[in-house]
Amino acid sequence: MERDTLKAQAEELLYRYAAAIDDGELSQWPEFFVAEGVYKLIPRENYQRGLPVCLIYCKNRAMMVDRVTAILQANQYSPHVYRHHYSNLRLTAVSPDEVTLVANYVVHRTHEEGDTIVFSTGRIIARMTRTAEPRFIEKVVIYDTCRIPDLLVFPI
Amino acid sequence: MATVTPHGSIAAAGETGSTLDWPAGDVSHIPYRVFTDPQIFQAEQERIFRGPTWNYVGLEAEVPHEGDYKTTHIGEVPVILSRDRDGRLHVLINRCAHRGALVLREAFGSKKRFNCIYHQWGYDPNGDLKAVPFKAGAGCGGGLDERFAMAEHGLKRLRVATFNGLVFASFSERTPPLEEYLGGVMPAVARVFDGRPLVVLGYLRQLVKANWKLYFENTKDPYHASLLHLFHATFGLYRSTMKGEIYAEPSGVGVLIAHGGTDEAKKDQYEREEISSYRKSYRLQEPALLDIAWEYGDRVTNSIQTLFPSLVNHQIGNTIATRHVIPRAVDRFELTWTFVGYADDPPELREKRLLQANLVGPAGYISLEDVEALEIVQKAIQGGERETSFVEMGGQTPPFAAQPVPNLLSEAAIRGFWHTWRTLMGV
Ligand code: FES
Ligand SMILES: [Fe+2]
Repeated sequence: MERDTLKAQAEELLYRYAAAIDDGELSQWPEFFVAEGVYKLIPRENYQRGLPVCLIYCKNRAMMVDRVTAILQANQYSPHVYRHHYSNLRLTAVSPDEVTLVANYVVHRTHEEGDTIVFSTGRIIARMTRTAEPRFIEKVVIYDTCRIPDLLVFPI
Repeated sequence: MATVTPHGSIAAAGETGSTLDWPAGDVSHIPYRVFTDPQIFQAEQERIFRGPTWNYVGLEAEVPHEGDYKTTHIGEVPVILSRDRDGRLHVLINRCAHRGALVLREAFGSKKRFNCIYHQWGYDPNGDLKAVPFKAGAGCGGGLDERFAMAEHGLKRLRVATFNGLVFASFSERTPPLEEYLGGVMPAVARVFDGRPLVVLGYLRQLVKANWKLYFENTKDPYHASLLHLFHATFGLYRSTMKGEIYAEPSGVGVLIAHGGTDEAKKDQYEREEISSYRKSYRLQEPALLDIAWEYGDRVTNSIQTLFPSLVNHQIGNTIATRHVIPRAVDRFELTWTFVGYADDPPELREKRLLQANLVGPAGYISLEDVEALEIVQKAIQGGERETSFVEMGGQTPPFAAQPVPNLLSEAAIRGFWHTWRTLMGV
C-alpha cells in the first residue's frame, strides 16, 4: 500500500512542521522546504480571483531564513504562540518524484496574558518530494480568515 | 445626539461628564479621551465622515464594466461603488429605501439590477428604483398609494470625485472640489497615480484594536519610522537623517517623502545615538527583496500620502497600495490594503511588487510593527482619559499650508492633523 505510506509521510511532514512553529523551534521552519522551495500565505479571496498578492511570499528557502531572522531579531510584536491542527488530508496527485497533498487547518493563537482565539482557518495545497526525508517543494496556505486579527508574525 | 459647547468640549444630550478640556488652539497635547470616548466616535461619524470630507471608496479599476459594484464603508455607513449603463460611477448608500436592508452583500460583483432580497425592491446600478412587487396590490386592495413616486425612493447618491483612478465620495455639499482638497499634496499623489491604467494585484485585510486616528498619527509621523522599524533604518529605506519632507494641507491631507541614498555621511548618527533599530551587521540572505527599480525618475524610497479621513497611499520601493481606514468602533478599525500595479508592468517589475509586498500589510516587516505600536497605545491610555500625549518634536505649531517641513524629525504633520480634526469637530 504505497499510497498509505505516502499519506503517512505527508502527515508526518505536516505535524513536524507544526511542532517546529508551535513549540519554539521556528529557526527550523525553512528546513522543511527544498532550497528552491516556495511558500505562499494567501487570502482565499485573492486565490479565488487569481490575484497574486500574498500575506507572506518566499520564493526560495533563503527568503524563509530572512523571515525567521526578522521574526527572531528584528520585528516588534507582543509575545504569543500558535497551535496548529490539521484535518481532511488527501493526496491529490502522485508522480514518481513528488506528491501533491491537500489538508484543512486551524491555528489557535494564544497571547501571553492567556487568551486564545481562533486565529486562522483555511486549507493547504502542497507538493512534497518523494525522498527518504520528504520536504515541501511548494506550500500554498490559503486562509479563509481574511480579516487578520491584529497582525500576523509567524508563518502557518 | 451630541452637542458642542464653545470651549473645546463635546457633550451628549442627557449625558454628563463627557467634556473634553482642551485649551483652544493646542495641537501638541492631545487628550487621550479622543481615542477612548464612544460619544466622540459618534460625533466624528457625523462631523467628519459624513461631513465636508472626501472619503475613499475604491479604484475605478475595481469596477471596470457596467453593472460592476463593490461594497465598502464610509465611516460606519455601508456604501456601494457602482458603474451604470453609461459608464458613470456612483456611490450609493447600501440601505434599501423600503425598510433599510443591505441591498448588496457581496464584496464585489456585477449585476444589471440591484435587488434587495427582503421584499424584492429593485434598483438600477445608478440607484434609481425600478421595481416594487405588488405596487398596485393584487386586485383586492393593499399595495402602495397611487401617488407613490418611484423617483423619490431610490438609493441615496453621494457626491463622487475621481483622481487618476482613485474614487472618493462625500456626503456634504460643502466639501471643496477634490483638486482643492488635495491641494499641494496632489503632485505626490499624481507621481504614483499618474493616470496610467491600474491593475489590482490583491487585497490584505486586518482588524486593528485601536482608534482610527492613531493610524493617521502614525502615517504622518516621520519620527517613528526609523526608530520602530529596523528594516527601514538598517537597509536605508527610510532614516530620519535622509533628505525628506512632510507637507500638510488644511483639509487634513498630507504627504511624507524620503529620498534614498541621501544620508550615507550621516547614518553613523544612528550608531552614536545607540539606536537599536539600526544594525550594521544585519544582512539578508536573499537581497532580491530590496532590489528596488527606480520607476519615477527619482530616488524616493517612501512616499506616504495621507488622504484624511479614510485613505493612506504608499509607494515603498516598488510596492504600491491604497490603505483604506474604516472605523468600526472607538477602539477598532479595519485596514484594507489594495495592492496595485500598472497594466503595462513588465513581468520582472510585477515580481518585485509581489516580493516587496512582504514589507507591508498585516505581516509586513515594516507595517506589522505599526499595528503593534497602535495597539499598545490603545491599551496604555485606558484609565488615562484625563491625560494627554506630548507632540512637540519640531515645535508646537501645525505646518503652514504651502510650506513643506524640510526634515524628518518633526511631528508638525500630526499637529496639522489635530488642527483639522478640531476644526471639523468644532472643539
Ligand atoms: S427592505 Fe428592501 S425590499 Fe423591503
Ligand atoms: Fe511605521
